Amino acid sequence: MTQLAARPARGAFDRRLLHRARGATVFIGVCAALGLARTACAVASAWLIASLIAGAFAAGKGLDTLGPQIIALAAVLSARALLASVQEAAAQRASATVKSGLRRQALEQLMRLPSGKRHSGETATLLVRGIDALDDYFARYLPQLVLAVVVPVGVLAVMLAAYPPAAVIVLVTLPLIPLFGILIGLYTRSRAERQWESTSHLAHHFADLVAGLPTLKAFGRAAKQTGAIEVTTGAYRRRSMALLRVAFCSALVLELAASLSVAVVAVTVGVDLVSAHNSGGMTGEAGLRTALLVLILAPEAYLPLRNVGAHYHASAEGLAAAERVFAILAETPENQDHRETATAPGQPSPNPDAAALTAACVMRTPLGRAPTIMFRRTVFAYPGRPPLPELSLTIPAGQTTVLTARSGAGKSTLMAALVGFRRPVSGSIAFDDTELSDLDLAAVRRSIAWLPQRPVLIDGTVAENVRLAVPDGASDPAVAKAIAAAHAPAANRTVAADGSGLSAGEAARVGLARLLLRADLLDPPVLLLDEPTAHLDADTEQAVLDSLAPYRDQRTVLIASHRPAVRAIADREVDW
Amino acid sequence: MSLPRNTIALRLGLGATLGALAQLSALALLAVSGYLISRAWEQPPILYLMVAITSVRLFGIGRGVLRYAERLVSHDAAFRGLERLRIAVWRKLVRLAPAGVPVWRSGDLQTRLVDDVDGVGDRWLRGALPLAAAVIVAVGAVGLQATLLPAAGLILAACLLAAALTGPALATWASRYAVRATATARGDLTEGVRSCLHGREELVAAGTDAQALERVLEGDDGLRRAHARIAWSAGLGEAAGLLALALAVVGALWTGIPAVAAGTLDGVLLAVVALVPLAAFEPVLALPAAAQQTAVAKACGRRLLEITQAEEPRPDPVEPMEYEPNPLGGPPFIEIKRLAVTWPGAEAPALQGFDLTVQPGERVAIMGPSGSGKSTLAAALMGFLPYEGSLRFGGVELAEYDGDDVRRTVGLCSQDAHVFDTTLAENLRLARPGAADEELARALRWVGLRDWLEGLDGGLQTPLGEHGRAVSGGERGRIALARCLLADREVLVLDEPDAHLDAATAARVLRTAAAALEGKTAIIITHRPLPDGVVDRIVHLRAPVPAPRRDAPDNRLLGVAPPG
Repeated sequence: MTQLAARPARGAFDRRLLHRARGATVFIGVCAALGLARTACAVASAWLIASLIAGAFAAGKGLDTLGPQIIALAAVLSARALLASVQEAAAQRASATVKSGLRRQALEQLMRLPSGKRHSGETATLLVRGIDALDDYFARYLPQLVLAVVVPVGVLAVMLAAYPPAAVIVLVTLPLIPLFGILIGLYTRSRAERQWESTSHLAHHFADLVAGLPTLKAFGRAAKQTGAIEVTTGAYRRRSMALLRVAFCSALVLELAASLSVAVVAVTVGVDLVSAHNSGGMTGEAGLRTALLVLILAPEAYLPLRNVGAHYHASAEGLAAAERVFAILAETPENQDHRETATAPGQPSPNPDAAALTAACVMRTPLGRAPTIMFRRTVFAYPGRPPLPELSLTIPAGQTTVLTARSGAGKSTLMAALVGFRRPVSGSIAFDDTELSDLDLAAVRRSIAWLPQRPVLIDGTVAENVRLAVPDGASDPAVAKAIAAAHAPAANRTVAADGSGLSAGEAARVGLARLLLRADLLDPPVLLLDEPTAHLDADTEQAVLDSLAPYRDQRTVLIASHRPAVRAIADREVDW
Repeated sequence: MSLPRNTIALRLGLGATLGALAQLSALALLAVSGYLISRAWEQPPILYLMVAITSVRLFGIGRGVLRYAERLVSHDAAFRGLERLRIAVWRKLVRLAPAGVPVWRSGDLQTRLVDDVDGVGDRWLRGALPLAAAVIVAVGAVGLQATLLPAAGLILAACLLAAALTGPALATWASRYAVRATATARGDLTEGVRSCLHGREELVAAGTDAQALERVLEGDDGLRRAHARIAWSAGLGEAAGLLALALAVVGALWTGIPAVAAGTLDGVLLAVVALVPLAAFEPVLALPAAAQQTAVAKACGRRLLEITQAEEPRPDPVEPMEYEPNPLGGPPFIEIKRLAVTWPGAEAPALQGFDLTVQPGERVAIMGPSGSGKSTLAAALMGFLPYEGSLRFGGVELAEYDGDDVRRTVGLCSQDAHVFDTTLAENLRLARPGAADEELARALRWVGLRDWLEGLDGGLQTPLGEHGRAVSGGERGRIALARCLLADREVLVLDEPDAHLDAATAARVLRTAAAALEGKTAIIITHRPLPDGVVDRIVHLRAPVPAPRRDAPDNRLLGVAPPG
């Protein structure tokens, strides 16, 4: 309910949304057809009711003559009920398909965009909850929009034929509704967008506070935070209400136009009937029938527009979310050549010739045997922080090198750079004298097994998680072997995507099993391990390192760790 | 507390009344218009029609204005109610954290707090208020109809009742289980998407990003199917209402026409009898949607109840002892005998038969393998967990004290302390509000972050990003340590303060920290040997027999580790 007042930034009819969604165009056609049928039903039932009343009151007919018309009325009204039901079901189905498609496109795109720029929890909420909110747009707003075009046209045509003055009244007032809607929408638009932002800010703020609640409580600050929440939400309410006071005005105009013009039609028709003997207009049974037909039809002309108004506000949340999804879809995945990841702003952009160079080198399969890795005067930088010190470093082929540099010296950055996720702002990285930037990044990645500090976990079993080591799937015995070697938890234990169910140490060993499986199946010449034993006790640490021993043979191995047991297996230690 | 709740109820009541009046205006508009036209057809002198003409215009205006007022009043009430609900949930969470909070997923928890609270607001705005308006209008319409023609009134009452019962019932019945299905699928999907995005680099490097993506999208498919199930049910509810409307209109004419012929109903009023059902059904036709909203909101309310009714893991004593564990000031004398601690919901104790005596100002290291209950001991010392055996501060059982009082003396620097999404200064000031910038900088110097601080563009005002993302693991741990030193507690429990540090940094940091802690009691939990001179003595801890793997939930609960 928090976005009730938000108005979509784009027009009511977002072409991109329909363009993205293949089923949507067909759906609009279905809506239009159903809308036409519903208009026909509305006109027919109005005419039947009017003629029944006129027949009984003006002509004094009884049930015996009017019976067939009553039965026809029952049939028409039932058909109307059926049509509404069909429309609703079709709308919900179309909406589910469209949402699913949009989610898939966004996710696929996000997997191509560099990490770290956006907040993964917030993005996940956008992709699930945000896109789900499009239901209101597809299942309610869009069909009503179609009806709002079809129904008034049909109704007006009938009214014009039956009694032109009433048609003129409707024709004059009807355009006022969208006109005021647009004016008020324009007036509230920027405020509505800010409101959406403050809503997601509020959501993030809460999640952050809840996540840190144990910390807050340890410092005795949890109870005091209540006051801060009170202030934040209070300010949020006052802002929302200020916005709603204006935004609801469009609904006010709509309701006033609809009900006042019905009143005006009734009065006009009434006055006309009274003076009919002077003007020679509406008299007799036919006169009354026409008058009633116009009266019953007039509200029908406004009804779809009123519903559009109601659903317009409800669909705004979904549209705002769609807007952000489109922003994601519009970003260029920058790893088309192999240059991945953020440089600090203001850094020189990559050499434009690099792409051409790459094309020439793509075919070369790199790292055929255990390569020597060289960092020459490499400097890494993160936005808003001083660059890390310049680094020149040779990691000898076929040996195990342990990086023992102090925390924060850039050990993880170094590893991420080798798999192409961080780019040095100056200097170079080379495998066996070939620059990393001249190699096909996909091939480089295939030749490397990398265990990051916090391995990713997906919903499923330990075995399924370990299988994520290789793209082409792994046999059960291979997975079992890797799990056993890494001393990882039992293959059939279930893991949740957030890691609940596993301790930090167990999660690290799942990551290690992944590394070993990859080494077994793809035989990569390079292994990168980032703090592989940080969460392990000494016994487990030793067991894990023993398992790793055969894998280190004939490979260039790089381990970041300070632990004595790890340093004991090093051929070489590097500090800077 | 009761006074503001009443004002919200009053506001909601006013909203319902205004809404009903708006709908009654619409009913009156149509009824009077029908009468006006029928009477005008009889061509009386126009003066006879003036009352009808004026009231038609009045009702025409009234409807729009009343509806506007209703919206403002009811939204304001809903916002106020939500505010209070959110704070009530927060207050309860404060009492539950960390041990009493079931191990739920962070993404799901976020969904719960934000969505569920909003969902309850929807229950008022889109559930209760439309229902109230529909009931009032229905009663008014039936009353009017019955006065004009009792038989038509009876039919209208029956049809309205049927529509009001079957429409929402159909909608609720089908959506109830679909809503449950989507809630799980949504939670799973959110969590899957989050972890997929979080681990993107690893997956891309392994070439398995497409695989992981497909797994996540399987969840999306489940969600899509669940949504398709709700589809036909919503249509059924609406159809049932429209069918009842058809019956009511046909019934009104079926009884009205003979009544006009028989003279029991004035012909002028036949139009009124025929048109009243059309207007009376408008709010009733909105009921299925309202019922679906209510069903969704009920699920939200249930989940919130799970939180608000959860049992407190360590309720504060009803009459807590006055907290004065060391009347001379300084750290208390700590005496632990046969201590056994069990986590809520766990079968076996995570720590058992533990004895320890700590003199004021002593620094003790507690060493043991994973799962030996080190973090559990920390939680018990913080007053987060109930215990058996004896745990005394200055001769008084810890259980006799108020938890907040205990935590004024005991500080905890946990393995994965939370770094809030705010500035460095704000993160530190958490420990001591109002601390001067120099004090913050000094605390950072103690933990060896002087160079790091000087390198920050924004200095103390540098934002630390999502879960302190801009800082490395080692920096995060040291910021947490600095925060604990700043808090200046008499007793400090350090849970693996050296987890993400290299040996040299760890030794330096621990020595400075030890110096800063001069005169305070320190309990340092670790599974690695500490550098010389940091602690006075070392206590070894063995896993309780049989050894349950308790490290998983413990770590999560104490730190609520940022997942991934």
